[in-house]
Amino acid sequence: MKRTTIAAASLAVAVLTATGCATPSSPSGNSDAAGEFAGRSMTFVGWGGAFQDAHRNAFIEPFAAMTSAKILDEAPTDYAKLRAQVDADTVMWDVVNVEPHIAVQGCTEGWLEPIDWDAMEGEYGFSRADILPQFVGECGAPDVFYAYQIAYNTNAFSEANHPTSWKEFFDVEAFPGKRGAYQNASGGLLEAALLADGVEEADLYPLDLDRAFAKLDTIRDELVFYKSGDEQLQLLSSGETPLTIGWNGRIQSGQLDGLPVAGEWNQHFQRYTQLVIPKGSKNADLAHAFLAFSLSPEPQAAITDFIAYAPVSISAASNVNSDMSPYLPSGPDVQPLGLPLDFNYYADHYGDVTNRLNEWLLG
Amino acid sequence: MSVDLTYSAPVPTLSGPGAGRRERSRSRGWIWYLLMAPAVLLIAIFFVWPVFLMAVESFLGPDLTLENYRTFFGSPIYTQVLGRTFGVAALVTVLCLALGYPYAYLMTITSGWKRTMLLGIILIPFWTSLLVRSIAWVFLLQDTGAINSLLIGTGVIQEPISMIRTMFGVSLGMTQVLLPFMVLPLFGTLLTIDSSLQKASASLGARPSVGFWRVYFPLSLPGVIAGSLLVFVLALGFYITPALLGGPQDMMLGQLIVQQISQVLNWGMGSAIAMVLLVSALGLIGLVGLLLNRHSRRADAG
Repeated sequence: MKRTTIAAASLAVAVLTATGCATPSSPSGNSDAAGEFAGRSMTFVGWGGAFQDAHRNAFIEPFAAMTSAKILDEAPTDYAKLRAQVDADTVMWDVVNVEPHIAVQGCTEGWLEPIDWDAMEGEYGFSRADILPQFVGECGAPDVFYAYQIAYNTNAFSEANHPTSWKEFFDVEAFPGKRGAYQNASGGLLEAALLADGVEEADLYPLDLDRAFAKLDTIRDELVFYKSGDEQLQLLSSGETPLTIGWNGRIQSGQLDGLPVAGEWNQHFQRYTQLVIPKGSKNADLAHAFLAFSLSPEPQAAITDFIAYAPVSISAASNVNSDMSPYLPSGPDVQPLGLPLDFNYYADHYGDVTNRLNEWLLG
Repeated sequence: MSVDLTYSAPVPTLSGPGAGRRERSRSRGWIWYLLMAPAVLLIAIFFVWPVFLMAVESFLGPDLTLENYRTFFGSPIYTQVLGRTFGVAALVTVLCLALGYPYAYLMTITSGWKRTMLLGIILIPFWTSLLVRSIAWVFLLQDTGAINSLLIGTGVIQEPISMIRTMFGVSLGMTQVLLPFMVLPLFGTLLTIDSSLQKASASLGARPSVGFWRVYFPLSLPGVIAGSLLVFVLALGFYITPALLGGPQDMMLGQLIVQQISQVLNWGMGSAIAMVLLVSALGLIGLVGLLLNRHSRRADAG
């Protein structure tokens, strides 16, 4: 029942988006694009699951319908495969959805194409000035942003009584129970520890790792590490970890499924993913057109029909799906409460921080 | 592996002894090589060559360097995890042997549908995805899982027993997953042991336990070794099960390799870790082989 509704809705949106963009009133550049890429094909690689469905419905299918290009979509993203394709000069992927530190690392090491922002300007109504500047990279075009937030099990805690800051998240006396955290260097745990220890938001980077791990020592026995979003939600909803560093998209999908979970917006971390083009892609022109389309206001608003990830297009923010808007980190009340994780820091230090985290975990 | 041991004896031929026999066995050797060629070629191309490339990668950074190995042996993380990986693999091997030996024995003394059923019990989980089986253990072992809920619900315990995210959970899950690899080679070997040998030892006055340890068990050794090596080597490279059932402190080397290859994208370091694992595994297996060889030679002499 639910599935058919979603399918019908996605079809409707695809049609609306496609026709909406094809009307004569939309910016110039569209009409000639329709013929330019007809018969061409390219490959998009995403993370699979609901995120891939959202990409397909909001970006891929409308773009294919408009340009008559064929877009193959694969999952999941695999950084090792991506780099190996470039190393072996057999690039089969044209647009890949990656974490920001990979976009920076690939740019520095020369296995990603720099984004040609000038060529994209004006295409399909895209304007670089419309994109939230903190998410724009040299080799990465942001597609959505989302939040790592304090999340709690509503059987153990309530709207009135749950940690509302990282300081409280680390207070095991006031809020007893195990805490879930992502076993990943850029999972937000180190930033959370430093904020809990009294570091100012502006002074977070470069991370004071000694201080962060010293703070983590104080809740070592209460920490449980998850390695995927599924595991995170399973631990949280079962009460195994009544508190967790939650991903807003997962928390929202848990709530839709009727699970006893909720999220807190104060002090959330903004994270985003990026679309990159592997160096040597044979369809770099088509890939750039796809990026311009995906970052333009209408597809940006349309993706919120499918997943609780927020548009990076500023003008799309007022146009998001109204049912989804309470769950998005882009709301006018919510966005000021967030702070972006600094992926330029992680691009340089990901390996070192990973080693330090391993060392601490093995403690 | 038991095949090797049986065929190390001269191949009997129909013709009489002498020059003719030698010629025949030489031509047969030629056919053996021909039959082996596809497999050897396949292994050379798809195993030896990639391993060679990996070995090269581990010394590049991007110039020729020992840096990755220096990092490995200079940092407590890697050596600690290496030691733990071998420890867990050894523990799981012992557990599989302790559970698998009586089971395989039971299979040899039954027949018909009973044996088929015993074989089925071992094989059915073998056909189920490793991931599914590991997740099933998560639902059983976690603090709010089936076992703890039952024990708390019936008042046996007040606080949940920690089973998941412990070495206990990892060993339990890995033992279940790897048990078929112990039972199947063991069953094959035990089946070939003539049961009248034990009766003979009993008729000569040996107690059943003596008959077992002095007659039956030594004959089953090829199966024990084959099964143990198989389980041990597979356990060394385990990734999914320890990731799901272990805590971060139960990390195994496979997890560190994946982390370096696909998250940190430091292929040199990932290759170096893999090489250390490979070389130390081969070293250990070689050592075991050497000891057994010496042992069997002494047994032959005595």
